[in-house]
Amino acid sequence: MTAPELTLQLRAARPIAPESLRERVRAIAAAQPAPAVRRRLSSLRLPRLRIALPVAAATALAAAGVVALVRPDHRPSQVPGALAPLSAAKAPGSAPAAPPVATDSQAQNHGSAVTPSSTTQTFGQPDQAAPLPTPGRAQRYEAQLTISVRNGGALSDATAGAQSAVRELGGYVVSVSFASAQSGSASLTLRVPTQHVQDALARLSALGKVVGQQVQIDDLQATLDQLARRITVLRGRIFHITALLADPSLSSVRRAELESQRTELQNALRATRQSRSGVSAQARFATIDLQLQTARKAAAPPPSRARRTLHQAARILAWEGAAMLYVLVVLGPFALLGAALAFAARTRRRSEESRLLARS
Amino acid sequence: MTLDAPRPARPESRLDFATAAEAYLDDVYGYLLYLCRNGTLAEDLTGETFEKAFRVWAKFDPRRGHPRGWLLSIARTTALDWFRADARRRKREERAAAPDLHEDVDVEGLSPELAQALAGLSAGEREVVALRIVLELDGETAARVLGISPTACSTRLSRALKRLEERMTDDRP
Repeated sequence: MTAPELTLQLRAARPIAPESLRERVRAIAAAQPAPAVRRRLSSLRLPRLRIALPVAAATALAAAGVVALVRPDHRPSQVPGALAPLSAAKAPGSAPAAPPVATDSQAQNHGSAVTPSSTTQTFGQPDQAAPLPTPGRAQRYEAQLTISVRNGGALSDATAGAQSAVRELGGYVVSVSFASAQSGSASLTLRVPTQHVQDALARLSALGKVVGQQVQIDDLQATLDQLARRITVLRGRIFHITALLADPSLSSVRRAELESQRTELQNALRATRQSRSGVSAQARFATIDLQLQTARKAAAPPPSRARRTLHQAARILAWEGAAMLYVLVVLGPFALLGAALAFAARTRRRSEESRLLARS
Repeated sequence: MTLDAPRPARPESRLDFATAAEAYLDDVYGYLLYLCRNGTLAEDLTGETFEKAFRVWAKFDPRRGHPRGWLLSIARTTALDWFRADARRRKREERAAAPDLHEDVDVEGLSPELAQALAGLSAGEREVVALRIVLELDGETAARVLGISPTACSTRLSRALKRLEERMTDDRP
C-alpha cells in the first residue's frame, strides 16, 4: 500500500465523536460565560514590541528635546574668547564710579585726573589693548593672560618663548607648570620690570591667539608718599632730639630719656624705610600669570541657540543611553540566566514529551 | 498527491465557544483517539480539553491562530499531562503488577492491517499522522500544535508514513 492509498483510507475513516461526548461538550459550552482572563506579560509579543519600541524611542527623543529647550541654564556660563563684561572693582576709598586705569593720553581724553587705588579690568578679545601702568606712579601691576596655541608642539615652543622673552626684558620666571602635550596646557608666573610690561604683553600675545586677559592695577603711590612723609617726620624728630642732646646742661635723667626716644625713632625710621623699599619693589616688577593651552582645549566661539539646544538634547540622549546601558549591564546577566533556564526547561520538557510519546 | 491541505480560512470575527466546540469536537476527539488508542480515554481527555478551553476562551486571540489549532494544542497538553500522571502511576504500581489500563481499540473504518500497523507506531508518530493526514492540518499549524518546527513536523510525518508502508508491506501475504 502506497502513501496516497494510506492517506485515502485514513481520511475515509476519520473518527467521529460519540453523541454522549457531544452532549457533554455542549453542556460545558452552555455554562455561564467564562470570566475574562487578565492579560499577562507573556501576551506582549513581537507585534506589540514593534509598536512599543518606536514609541519609546520617540518619547526619549522628545523628552531630550523638550528638556533641552526649557532648561534655563542652557547658555554657556563663560566661553573663553568671548568678550567678558568690563568690571571695575571698587577699592576702599576710591571713587564710586572709578573708570578703568588708562594711559596718560586716555586719561587726558577722558578729562580725568583721578587715579584709582585699585582697578581690575577683564579683556577677552585679542584686539582689545590691556591697560598699562601710569608712568611716574608706583603701581602694582598683575595680569592674567590666556593664549591658545595650535597643538602640543606649539605649546612647548610658546612656553620656552615666553621664558626667553621675559628674561630678555630683564624679568624672571617665578614658576612654570608644563603639562604633557596631550593634556595641552601650561601655566607660567612671570615677573617683568613694570616699565617693560607693555613690551612683555605684546611679545607674549604674539605667541598665539589671545583668548582672555585680565589686568589688575593697584596704585601704590599714595602708600609710598605716606611712607616718605613719615620718614621725613621721623628724620626731623631725630634731628631735633640730636640737637637737644648736644646741650651740655642736660640732666642725666633727661639725657637718658631723650636718647631712648631717639633710639625708638631710629628704629621706626629703619622699619619705615624697609616698608618703602618693599612697596617700591612691588611697583618695580609686574606679575604676569600666563596660561597657555592648545586650540583643542580652547573653546570654540559661542554656539548658536539652536546648536546649543541640539547639544543639550544630544547630551540628554547620551545620559539616557548611559542609563539604559547601565540597566542592561546590571540586568543583562539575570536576563541571560533566565533565558538559559527557560531554554533548558523547554528542552527538558520536549525531551520528556518525546519519551512519553515514544513509550505510549 | 500533496499532503498539504488547504489552510482553513481565519474567522472574520470571533467565534463563540459553543460554535467552536461544535465545529471542532470531531477533530479534537479524533486526534486524541489516535494519540491514546483508547476510546474511553479519548472521550475523557476530549471533555477535559473543552473544559480547559472554556475556562481560557477569553484569552484566545483569533489574530494569532485558528481556533482548531488552539483547541488541538490544549488537547495535546491535556494528553501529555495524562501520560505523565499515568507514567508515575505505573511506576508506583509496577511491583504490584497492576493491569495496564490501555485498552487498544481500532479506529472504525480502517482495514485490520492498517489498524495493526498504526498500533505499531509510537504515540508521537500517530499524532502527526492524525494531525496532518486525518485532520488535514497544514504543516505550520500542525507544527505549532506539536511545539516543533515545520521541518521537524514534516520529517516526523515522512518517517511515520514510511513505517506504516513498511508494516503494511510486511503484513501482506
